[in-house]
Amino acid sequence: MSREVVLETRDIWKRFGGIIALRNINIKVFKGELLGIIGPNGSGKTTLFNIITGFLKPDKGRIILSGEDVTGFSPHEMVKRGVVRTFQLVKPFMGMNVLDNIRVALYMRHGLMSRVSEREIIGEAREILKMIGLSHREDVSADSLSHGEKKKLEIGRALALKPKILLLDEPTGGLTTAEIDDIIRLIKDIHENGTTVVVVEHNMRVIMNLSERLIALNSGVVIAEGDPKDVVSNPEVVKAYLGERFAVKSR
Amino acid sequence: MRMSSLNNIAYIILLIIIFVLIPLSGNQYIIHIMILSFINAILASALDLLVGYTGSLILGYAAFYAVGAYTSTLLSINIGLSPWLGVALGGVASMLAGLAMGIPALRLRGPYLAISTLGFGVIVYLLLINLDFITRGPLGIPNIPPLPGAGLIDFSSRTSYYYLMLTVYIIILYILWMLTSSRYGRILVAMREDEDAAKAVGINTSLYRISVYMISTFIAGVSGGFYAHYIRYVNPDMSSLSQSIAILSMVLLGGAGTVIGPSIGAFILMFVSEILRPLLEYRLLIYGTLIILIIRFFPGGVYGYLIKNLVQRKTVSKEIVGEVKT
Repeated sequence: MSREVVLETRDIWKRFGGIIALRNINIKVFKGELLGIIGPNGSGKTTLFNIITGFLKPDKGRIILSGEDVTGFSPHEMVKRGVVRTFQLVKPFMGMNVLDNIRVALYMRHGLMSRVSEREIIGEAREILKMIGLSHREDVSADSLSHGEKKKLEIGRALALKPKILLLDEPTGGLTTAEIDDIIRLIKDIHENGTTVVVVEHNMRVIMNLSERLIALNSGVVIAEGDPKDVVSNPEVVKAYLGERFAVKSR
Repeated sequence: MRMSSLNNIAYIILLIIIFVLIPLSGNQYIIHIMILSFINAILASALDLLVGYTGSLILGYAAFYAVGAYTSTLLSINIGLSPWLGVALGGVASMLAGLAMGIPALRLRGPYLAISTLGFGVIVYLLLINLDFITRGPLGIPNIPPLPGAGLIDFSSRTSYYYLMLTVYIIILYILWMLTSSRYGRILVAMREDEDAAKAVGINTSLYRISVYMISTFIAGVSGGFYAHYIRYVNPDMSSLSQSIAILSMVLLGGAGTVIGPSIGAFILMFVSEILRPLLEYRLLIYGTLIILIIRFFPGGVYGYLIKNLVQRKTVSKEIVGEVKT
């Protein structure tokens, strides 16, 4: 099966002071797939996201987006090219209401000078709120939303940008079981609509439920890659998560 | 909602009528203080664009006021340029100074930004004192030509200058209101609320920050020019720390991020400092105490307090709540 590669990292290195956060990362994201990335805390998942989306510049290596070298591009240039992210620690525009949070993203997608009327923007924003299940909260200030609602809003804001590749950083972190189910359904919907999705997660239930392909990172190195079932039973991965003893047992 | 915006328009018209009627009292002293209040209200509103709408604490803002005033003064005295053109070029010079401060300060936030802008203010102050072959140093520059009149209007009269400043003030406030309630304004607020999130939705935050610096400092420069051609004397104190603190106090007292708030602050402080003239030496002490008290007890300023306690109690209009939250 030869699938189109939409995003590729080539030999990415990133160092923070004495710590090497990423060493020689080579990953490929295929068009239309739902890729999961797992790894213990500090394994470099978020750093990788930051580098792909332009929030950090790699020390070495290149980022290739659909054949274009986008290494060192700023976040807004990446968004323009359809690479959109969410944050592990939610970052809604706190002082704004839910609808305006989405509106700002829509302004950016249509361009500040676009002739798209405010009425159309609001209509579009309401459709997104419907999709993420926050219609009844549109007038509420973002800072008074529950944690789960903030997570949804964050995904909604990303959707407003019509991403080609959506990178979700722990979308279910700190949520209740019911909320997690909502988010899983939402991510599946987004994926079924043709968006390529990359999810970083800790929650194994979520990651096994969602991902078609899985990459495991540990200490800044890719330690396993492939079918999710194979990856989670890979001794290296078990060892990284649970320590040496369990790795031997699981064999 | 429609009702409340009609009410707002009624209030604004009432206010404008009062402003128009004030000079008919013939009280020259009041007219004088009002002119200075308009100039300061323009200046404070321009600063609010940075403080209230981008969340940048700017401490050396008076520098831009002074750059505008000196540019216009020097151009009209030395090369005989029309003061009208001088005022506009003062705005441009101030905007260039804004770029000179803004670009290096792009990466700075919070207290670091405050300190660096304070430094910028001090540099301008020292330049005005030490470049005495141009600026006459601490002596200042007297005999600045007034704005030339057009036809029957002569701007050397206090009353006509009053109406000129009232007009300029209304125009600038209208522009600021349009700007902040536009898409551009919402994007600024988004940046203020969360810079990373703003980047993540594709906002080129550096570009927006620079653009707002330029707009704000242009207006500050223009207000400096109008001041110079009114008082007809400038000195380096225009760029002093106490002047900067005074402008900031107006913004915070009136209510940052509210368009109208800084004007309220400017009018209150201008009149209060006239009343407290005997305590002039303690000006900084008073302003400092005032800032601390406002931030502690009335973070929304006078305007925020009024809206919260008068308007909201009557009608819980979501729109207004959103505005005050900012």
